[in-house]
Order: sequence, then C-alpha cells, then structure tokens
Amino acid sequence: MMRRSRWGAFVAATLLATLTACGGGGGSSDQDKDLKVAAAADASSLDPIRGNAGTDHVLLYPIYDTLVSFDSGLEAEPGLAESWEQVSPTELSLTLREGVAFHDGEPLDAEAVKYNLDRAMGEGSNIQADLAAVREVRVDDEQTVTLLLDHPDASLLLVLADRAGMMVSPKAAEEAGGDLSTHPVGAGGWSFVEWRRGDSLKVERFDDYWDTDVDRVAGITFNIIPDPKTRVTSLRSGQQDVSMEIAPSDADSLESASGVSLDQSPRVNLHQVYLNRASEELGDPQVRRALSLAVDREVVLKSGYFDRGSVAHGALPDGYWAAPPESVVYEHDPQEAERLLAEAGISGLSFDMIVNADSQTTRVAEILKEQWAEIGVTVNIIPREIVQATNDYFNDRKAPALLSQWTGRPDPAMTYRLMFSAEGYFNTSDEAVPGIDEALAQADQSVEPSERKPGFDAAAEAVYADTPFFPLAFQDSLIGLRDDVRGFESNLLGKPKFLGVSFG
Amino acid sequence: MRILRVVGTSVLSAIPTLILATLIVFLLQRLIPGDPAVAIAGDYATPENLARIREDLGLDGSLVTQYLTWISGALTGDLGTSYQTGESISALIMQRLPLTLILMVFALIVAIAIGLPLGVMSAQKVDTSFDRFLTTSATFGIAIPNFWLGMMLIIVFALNLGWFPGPGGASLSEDPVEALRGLVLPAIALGLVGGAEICRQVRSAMVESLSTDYVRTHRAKGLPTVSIVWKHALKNSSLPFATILGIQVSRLIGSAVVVEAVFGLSGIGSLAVEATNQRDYGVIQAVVFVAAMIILLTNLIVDVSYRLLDPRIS
Repeated sequence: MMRRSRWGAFVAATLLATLTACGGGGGSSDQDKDLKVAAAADASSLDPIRGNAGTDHVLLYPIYDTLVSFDSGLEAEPGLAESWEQVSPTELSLTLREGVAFHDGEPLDAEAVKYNLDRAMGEGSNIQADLAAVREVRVDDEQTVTLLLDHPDASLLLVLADRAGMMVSPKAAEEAGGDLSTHPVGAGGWSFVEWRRGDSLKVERFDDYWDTDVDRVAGITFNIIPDPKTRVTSLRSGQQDVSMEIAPSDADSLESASGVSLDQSPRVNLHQVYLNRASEELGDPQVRRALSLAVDREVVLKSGYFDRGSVAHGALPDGYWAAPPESVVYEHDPQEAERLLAEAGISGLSFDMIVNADSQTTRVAEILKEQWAEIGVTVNIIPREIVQATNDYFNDRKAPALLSQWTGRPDPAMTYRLMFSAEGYFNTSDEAVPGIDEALAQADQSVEPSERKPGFDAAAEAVYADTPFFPLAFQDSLIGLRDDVRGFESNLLGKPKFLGVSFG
Repeated sequence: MRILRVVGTSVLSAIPTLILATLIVFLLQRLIPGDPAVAIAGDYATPENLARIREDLGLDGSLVTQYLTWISGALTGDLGTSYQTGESISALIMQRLPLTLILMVFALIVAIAIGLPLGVMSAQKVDTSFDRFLTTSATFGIAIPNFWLGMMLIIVFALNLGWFPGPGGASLSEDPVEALRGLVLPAIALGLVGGAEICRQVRSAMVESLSTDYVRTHRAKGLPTVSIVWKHALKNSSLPFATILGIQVSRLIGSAVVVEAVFGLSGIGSLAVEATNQRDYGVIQAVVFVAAMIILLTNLIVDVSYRLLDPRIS
C-alpha cells in the first residue's frame, strides 16, 4: 500500500505540475491564421537603434516601416517618405506621407522624423556611424524634413531604408526611457504583441496601416530555431509556413519534399577571405594577386556551397545595379599565380587563416588550402567559434587572413567604405585601398543610381587592382515555404518583408 | 524529526558545493576566448561602439569584486541582468525553466517505464537468451547519441507517420495539449538512454536480491513469484534504483542542451547555448547555478529516500 500511495502521489504531482504549467492558454482560429516563420536567430533588440545583428531586420520590418523602402533589386523606393529631393549634394529633403500613424495613435510627422534621426545620432545608438554625415535635421513643415550634411553622402537614402529609417513613436520612446528594446512601437504593418526571448516574437495586423492595398496576414509568429536541420523538419512537418536560412546542404531534400518549396534568390551576402594588407605575409599586392589567381571559384561554389549561389567578382553580385563592370573578373590562372610569386621572389609562403568553425566554412577552407598548395603556398587553418574569430581577427589582429562572410549593406558605398577605407572597421590594415576614396567621393555626388554607377565602377576597379580581399561566392538566399503561402518575395538584401504575403 | 535533521544537514553540506560550483563556472567562463563586447556589438562594431560597451559592462572591475557582487545577489534571488538585452535574468530563467522541467519529468517517466520492468524481467531470466538479448540491447541503448535518436524519431514519427507534431511547434502557454504532445518525442529521445541504464542497474540489483536467503525462504514457503519479485526483492533493490534515478537527473539536464536544439525547444538548455554564443556571462552563470541547484536538490531527495527506504541507514 505504501508503494502504491507514493507512486500515486508522484503521478498526481506530475499531472499537477503539467497542468499548472499549461494554465492560461488559448487556441487560435484557423480562419484568420498567423503566418509562422522559423527564424535562425532571435532579434538582438527590438529597438532599431540598439540592435547589433544583420538577422534582426526580418523581425523588425513588420513592426517598423522605414522612411525609404527598396525594391527587390535594392533600388530606393518611397516608404514613409513618398518622395525626396536632393537639393544639393549636402541637402536631402524628404516629403512624408500624410495621415500616417504609429501603433499608439501618435502622428508620424516631420517632428517625429526629426526626433528619430536625432535619437539615432545620439547616446546609446549603435548606428551613429551610418548618419555620420548628417549635421542637422531641419523641420520645414509638418510633412517635410531636410537633412543637412557636412559632406556629400549619397548612401544616406538607403541608410534610411535600414535601421536609421525605422521610425519609432516618440511618445513611446520617451515613456520607455529611450529604450524600446522590449516594447517596440512603430508604424509598420503589424504591431507588437509578445516577445519571448529566444523562443518567439508575435505581431498582429495593424488596422490603421497607411497602405490599405497590400495583402497582410492576420499575424506573424517568428519561432526562433537556431538549428538549420530543425528548421527544415519543422517546416516539413507543418509547424511553420516559412523557414528562413535553409542550409545549402539541405536544399536538395527540401526541393524533393512534398507540400513545400524552396525560394532561391540572389543576395548581397558575400563569402570572402578578409586580408590584412599591413601584415608581413600578405603585404605585397602581387602576392595577394597570385593567391587570388590560384583560387578556382567555380570549384569553391560547387563543392563548398553546393552550387547554391554565384561566383563573386567583387564585393557586389552581378545583376545588382552597382555590380562591378565587366572588366573586373577574378580569373583562375595557377600558372600566372606561380609566375607572379616567382617574380616577387617568394617561395615557400605560409600564412595563418582564421576560419569560422562551422562545417560549411571549414569545408571551403579545406578547398582553398588544397588550391593554394598547388602553387606551393601553405595555409594554416585556425578554426574558431564566430565571436572569437571576429575578435581575434578584427580586434587583436592575430592572423593575416579570415575566412568569413560579409552580410551586405543596403547601400553599396557602405560596403566599400567599411571594408576598404582607412577608417573602416573591417579593414585591419588601417590604410585605404589606393583610389577608393576618390571613387566613392564620385559616387556621393548624386542619389540617382545611374549617376553613381561610374563611381562604383571605379571603386570595383581600385579594389581589383589592389586585391585587398578574396571574394569567393555570393550564397543565394534559401527560404523554405509551405505550398499555401502566396505572394512571398525575396530581395537582394536577403531580408524579406512579409507585406503582400497571404494564404491561398 | 529524524528526517528534518537529515534534510537540515544535507542542505547545509550542499551550500559549500553550490558556492564552489558557481566559483568554478565564474572563473571558467572568463577563460572563454572572445571579448563579450565583440559579441554584443555584432555587425555594428566600430572602435567607439566597442569602447562604450566595455565601459557599460564594467568588465574592468576586479574578478573578486565581480564575483562577490554576483553571489550576494544570487543568494537573495537576484541573478542580475543580461548583458545582451538588459532583461532580468531571474525572469528569463523562470520563462525557460518550466519547459525543461516538464521535459525532464517526461523523460524520467519514459526511462522508468522502460528500464524498471525490463530490468526486473531480465533478472528473473538471468543467463537465458532473453536476458542476453536485453543486456545487449541496453548496451546499445546507452551508446545511442540522443541527438541522433531525436532526428530519427522526428523523421519516422513526425514526418513520415505524422503521429506527433514536428519540432518548433506550439508553446505551452498558447496550446498546452499540443505542446505536451510535442514533448513526447524529445522525452523518448532523452529517456531511452536513461531507460537502458536503469534496466542494467535494476537487473544487477535484482539478480543479487533474488539470490538471497530470504527470497529462498519465501519461495520455500510457497509465496507467489509476483509477490516475491515485485514486493520483496524489488524493495530491497530500491537503493541502487534511487541512486541511478538521481544520476539520471544530472544526465538529463546536460542532454537537454542537445535535445532542445534538435527539437527546437526553448528551455534552459538552449538558453545556455545562446548565452555562451553571445558571451552573456550573467546568463551562463545563472543557468549553471539553477542546474546545480536542481542536481543538489535531487541528491537531497535521494539522500532522504535512502532513509525512508531503509531505516537502518542513519
């Protein structure tokens, strides 16, 4: 009897614990169901000026509309600002849409925009550098605001399509003591409901959204699932409608599965070898050029990235409006590589390369090691967990090379400046690539893509001539979708917005 | 009264262990290479941002001061705030812990439901082909990595047969029934290995019990086998059973890290992984603190149960 009563108590306690933990739940109707999205990483913060990860945007866009938007090819489009005018290279005037309101009912007017931009340039902001050119934000009238610059900066327009352009309600920001990390209030298509860190983010359709024509699902639930295989099985088993960041190694199995499909589209995410041009081993441009020539990028793409992407001929992908000109081609020519090394008087070159310790990057590192061995160069692969790799390379500068990624930026000038100008954080040599500053200055004179293109062509040529990095491949954006998801559209940034998506 | 004294003594002796555990973790995590400021600055790292973050974190204070501040807070229930998000760590733990606890209870039920009867049956048929088959299977069971088992269970029972929800499903707060169904496969993945271990331990304890004099006497007196095995012999084998259950709890906490990742569950296992990737020291420390508390509590329960099960132990 004693045993039975103890076991009985155990079972009862278990059930009780289970039921208690389950309390307060509620089901959801199938009629107006939420879109369930498996995201690879949680938002680092829901306050646009405080976050730090490129993966945040997918979770932020539904809550925050941006002043400027972009089309799938990353050209600027009207957003909360319905038009803009470049009064002079140092003066950008934005005309706002009328009648736009934040989720808390506050009006989105010129004062609100000024508040937001001042906030992004002020204390506690992670994105002060994006707006470094802005001297002052001037309110002209209720619907017009003008950005006065210290020096021309044409990237500003697309900066306003990024974090800096995500408008938060000034009233909510003031009430939250300036930090909206956990209680975001924007003017996007969906308003915030609940955030369970590391688990899920829920948003619901905002009834007073300004764009009444666009399809919007009743709500979106982002489920945070860091493991790539689990994201795939979760989608296939019907737990998710959309699964972000499918690994290239899982793409085939997803394509052959029923009830789901794979959305594959190009994006600006570049896999590359960062180089320290001030290092002893890789200080000579001729040596860097030789190493670049020894790389067979087709093989890297096929074996390293399962052919899910395109070969990189620079910092920006083909098909992008700012793509490098046709004259810039990173050829594969091992004979020429050997000749250049001999000419430079180098033999038995050996250098360290830090590598992000994930299976894909390690695989690519092995391929590069093999290809460089063919011209008599030895590379010592140093696998490191990603934070340590970043720290060891960019801060402590422990090795002359790092195999990693560049997640891209909305404006091409940001990419060139951050990687190749003297003050760019991602340029460990602290010396500008010869000719880059002049080229970028040329691209800063206008905000029109066609007028900026020659400047970017010159930048791509300057980079090609100096070989300050080894671009390898642009890995496509791979997103899994259930068959009943309609209207999903990727963009070159690889950060989809969910406007226009519906169930069908 | 005797039990109260036992509990009191055990609690007191657990405190130094707990403090030692937190001290070791505190020092070890400082050895994790990689600057937390780099993790926090992420894609927006600039020299200015990094300097600001380092200052905000106050990582320049002495280690002794940092540890004393932390431990005095922890002992009063304040586990500090997360570097990454500024949120209260206690709240974060309370949000993630229930799922892991429920998963562990499920896994223990699975482990006991499999291990106990099989161990008893195996002991009754010692050295037969049935016994050898079970012992060999148990050895395989112990050797199976639970993440692999988890993936296989998902493929067979969630994707192909559709009997259980796939990973990343409903959360406990929104659809408890579905969420609990979603815990069945991870509980099996976690519990099967424990079941194999329990099976082996119960078998050897029962083999010993069944060969004792009093069992022979029971048999001679004509007591039914069921009564001999389940009432008398099993009770005398319950000490090793209690011990192995205690060990299983510690193992389950460790394995939860992997199994939660495979099944897309947000418990404290996945919290530990996220925090380590982000160098969120306060959160890592808190997770280890909570895990150490659970293990110490389990040991306490095992200690007390020894005394309940066998009054001769003082």
